[in-house]
Amino acid sequence: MENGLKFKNSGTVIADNKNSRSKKLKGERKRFSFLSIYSVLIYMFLYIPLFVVVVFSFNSSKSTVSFERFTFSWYIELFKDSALMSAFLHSIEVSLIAVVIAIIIGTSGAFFLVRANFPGKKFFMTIAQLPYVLPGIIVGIALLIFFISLNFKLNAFTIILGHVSFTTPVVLMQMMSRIQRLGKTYEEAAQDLGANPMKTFFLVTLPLIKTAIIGAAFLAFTISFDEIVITYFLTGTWNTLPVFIYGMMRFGLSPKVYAVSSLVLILSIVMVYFMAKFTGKTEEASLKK
Amino acid sequence: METTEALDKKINKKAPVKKVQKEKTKLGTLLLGVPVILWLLMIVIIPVILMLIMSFKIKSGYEITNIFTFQNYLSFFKNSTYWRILLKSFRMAFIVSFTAIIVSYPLAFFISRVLKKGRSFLFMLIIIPLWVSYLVRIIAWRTILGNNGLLNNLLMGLHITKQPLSIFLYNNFSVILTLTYIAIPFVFIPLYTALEKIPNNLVEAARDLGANDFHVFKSIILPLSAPGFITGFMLSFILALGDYIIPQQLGGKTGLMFGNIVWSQFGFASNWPLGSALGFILFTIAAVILAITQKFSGEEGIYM
Amino acid sequence: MSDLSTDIAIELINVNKNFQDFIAVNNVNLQIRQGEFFSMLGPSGCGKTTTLRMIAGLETPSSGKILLEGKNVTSIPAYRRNVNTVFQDYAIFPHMTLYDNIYFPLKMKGLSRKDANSKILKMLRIVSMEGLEKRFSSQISGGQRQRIALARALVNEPKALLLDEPLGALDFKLRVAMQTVLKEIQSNVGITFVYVTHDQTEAITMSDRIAVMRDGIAHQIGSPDEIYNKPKTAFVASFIGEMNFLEGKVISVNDKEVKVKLDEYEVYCERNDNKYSSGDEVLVCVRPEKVLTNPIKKQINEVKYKLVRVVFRGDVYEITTKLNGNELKSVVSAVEWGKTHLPGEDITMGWDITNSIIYPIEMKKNIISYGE
Repeated sequence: MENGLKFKNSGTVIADNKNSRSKKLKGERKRFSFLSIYSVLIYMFLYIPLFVVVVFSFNSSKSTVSFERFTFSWYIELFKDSALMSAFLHSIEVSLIAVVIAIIIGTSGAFFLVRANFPGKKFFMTIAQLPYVLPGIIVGIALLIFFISLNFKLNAFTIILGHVSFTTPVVLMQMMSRIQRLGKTYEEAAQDLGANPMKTFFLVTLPLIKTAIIGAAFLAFTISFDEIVITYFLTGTWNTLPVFIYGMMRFGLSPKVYAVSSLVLILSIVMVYFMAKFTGKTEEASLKK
Repeated sequence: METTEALDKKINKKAPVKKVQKEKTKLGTLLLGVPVILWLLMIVIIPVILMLIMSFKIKSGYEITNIFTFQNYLSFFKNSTYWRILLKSFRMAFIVSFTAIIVSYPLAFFISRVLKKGRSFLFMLIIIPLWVSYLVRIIAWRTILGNNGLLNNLLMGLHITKQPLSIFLYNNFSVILTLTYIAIPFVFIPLYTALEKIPNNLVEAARDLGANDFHVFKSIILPLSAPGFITGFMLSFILALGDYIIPQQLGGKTGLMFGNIVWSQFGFASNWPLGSALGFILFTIAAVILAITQKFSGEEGIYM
Repeated sequence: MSDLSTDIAIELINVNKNFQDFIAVNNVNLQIRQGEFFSMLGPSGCGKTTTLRMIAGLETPSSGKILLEGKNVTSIPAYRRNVNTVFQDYAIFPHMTLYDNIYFPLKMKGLSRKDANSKILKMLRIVSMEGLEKRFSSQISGGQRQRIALARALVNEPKALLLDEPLGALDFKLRVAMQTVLKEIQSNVGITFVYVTHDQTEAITMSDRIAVMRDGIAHQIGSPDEIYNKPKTAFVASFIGEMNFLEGKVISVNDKEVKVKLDEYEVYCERNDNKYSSGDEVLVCVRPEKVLTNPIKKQINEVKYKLVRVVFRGDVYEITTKLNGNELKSVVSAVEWGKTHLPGEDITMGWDITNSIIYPIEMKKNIISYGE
């Protein structure tokens, strides 16, 4: 990370006479070295807190003041905690189901929004963003009132629907930009060459948007897996992992909280990595002309 | 074949004005819209409408009565604690967004316009915290800012203070700091996108016409990155304004925000109609801010 | 034309296409013959691509009929029409090898890979792309992509091949080379080619017949010779090649010719099927290369105009003369032009009645001028 920040080629070359240019380069180097130091500080600001969490998860002492000895025992304890493990499994279950539903709604909806023409389309798109951009508390209470007035019991089902509410816009956005860039030519070519709509979809369209779907799924999963603001309103006795951790925090921070946080952290980073890998791939390979 | 005369008539009859070609939508495409429309209706529109309806009811005793009343909205204006805390939340959200922009702008400028290599990697490094658990980030800051936290230990270790200071946690400062921490990646994305889009030849042309670095920045870079400013500011403003978990975890008694008031109506205070009214006020504010943002940020989506 | 109806490959009858209130194609009638190289030529937005897409089945006409070999296919979708298209940007499927791209239409027909193999290899040979079939579209050049698109569209032996500006993305030299390749392939496979282009030179050099279009209207359909020498409208005259447009007034009309007063001179034009009567304002048109400067033999049409400028163009000189509002250009070979004249001098310009075309003055607004 720091390597990348060191400013190696200060050569923003501007056609200019030589004297002023060497002077300018000196000036630029100074300014840019200031900027790079500044950037390193910001990156530190962003990452040191996360680093602290990971470090203290290996602390043998229960205190969060000083680091005593390196230990894995908190992680082992996590796996012994059956309530925590079931919350973890619940989270996986919620996120997986919510993501599958969001992918179906979001992908079909993206085709609809990119390709259909109807009045008020822009407004529709704005409203469809709301569950993701609005403060979670609004979505949370609106859904809570909705479920209660339908006499739904708060359980896994309501949480899943809650997660579908904010993962769908994420998938929708990602897929819309992909479908927009894809255009219609490949599908038209397939039809022209004798493929009926069904075959066109499975042999041409789907393979071409596959990486984008996978990327969107990873992104939606990451967001869903960590979500607490909305989920908090919709949980009865059935907990997801963030809600469980939130409960643990009531009794103060402990190395165990750090250990589970570190695992969540690592899982998120792995997810983001895959997301980046797939969305990156989409642009490089499929649309290179 | 037409006669020249007939052809002539046809040509001269009207020169069709070229318009944006809009096709009639195929039935199959319309069917694809069914799930998303149902979703929008069931999970977005109807719940918000139900919330609105709830806000006109009233809680008396343990019952919610079905009379239509503005009383919840009136009590918001009458009870100064509600709107005072809303104003305070506005102030805090403003400080958060402003700080996040000030902090992110030089960074976005550096990565998008100065660096030649490693841009996408450094961009990703800023974005990753955005997807990293919100709760973990709160835990991290509580660890650092706490009375027995890292910051106090550091200060004592350096003999700057003798006793742990309680000024870091459970107040407005800790809430603003953590919200800013969370807002930075949010603000960074639109700033970066806006800055990256500015064509280099504009900068070169300005230099060529005798503008110095300051002028280039003031009259080209800054105005052209304004859409990013607005988008970033507004998004982070909404994010900060509606949060209730960070104030709950780091704000103590003095650091409470509007979200906590709303939240408490669904928790121990258990006054859903009032909570819905407060929630709807927050919804209206957020919707207005989003509408303004969309107007300024143009056609493209503002969120990704 | 009726005697040719047996070997008509594609026929469009009163075809219209509207996109909401924009008329993309305005009552077009076309007959494309079997084995013909037929071009649709016109500036962008003229409706040529829309017409092609309607033939392909990718667009449905708002009204009118489309016949393929006499069969009405108007409502038959693209995937059940036996015509194939080479798209403007080729649309080579990026997720398949080139081999699988060519296999795709055969697969749609239900052919196994094994049975298709010999056909695919044959097509690769025809387009000279043997040995590259394992690559992906991102690994080959623009010209090669064009060949693959051609192979993919031809492998099913369609009734007609539709090409939508297939050379548009290539640089000039490759374009010219590919023109020859296309022409050769067409004569080898003997399939009807319907070719859309905005490049008049391309259309004139490659086609058997051309339809010149603008604003959704087919202005003229004919052989390159007819289109060039007997343009039916002022638009066609101005769009293809260079043309002088001179304003005059009709003096008299008889069966064969129209006598026009052009400034103080009288000139004759061949009559066409527009109606003219004396006193009408008209446009008199003649191509610059048909105008003789200081003709040795007396010409039927002769005017004395003032020399404005001479531009050397390498092989020829372009002479511009003027009188009142009329500007008359002539292209003269370097041998003929003696450089003896100075600007301001009067020069005799002459041309034959067969090269003299007349249009009603209302057509003036249809002239395309590239200077604007």
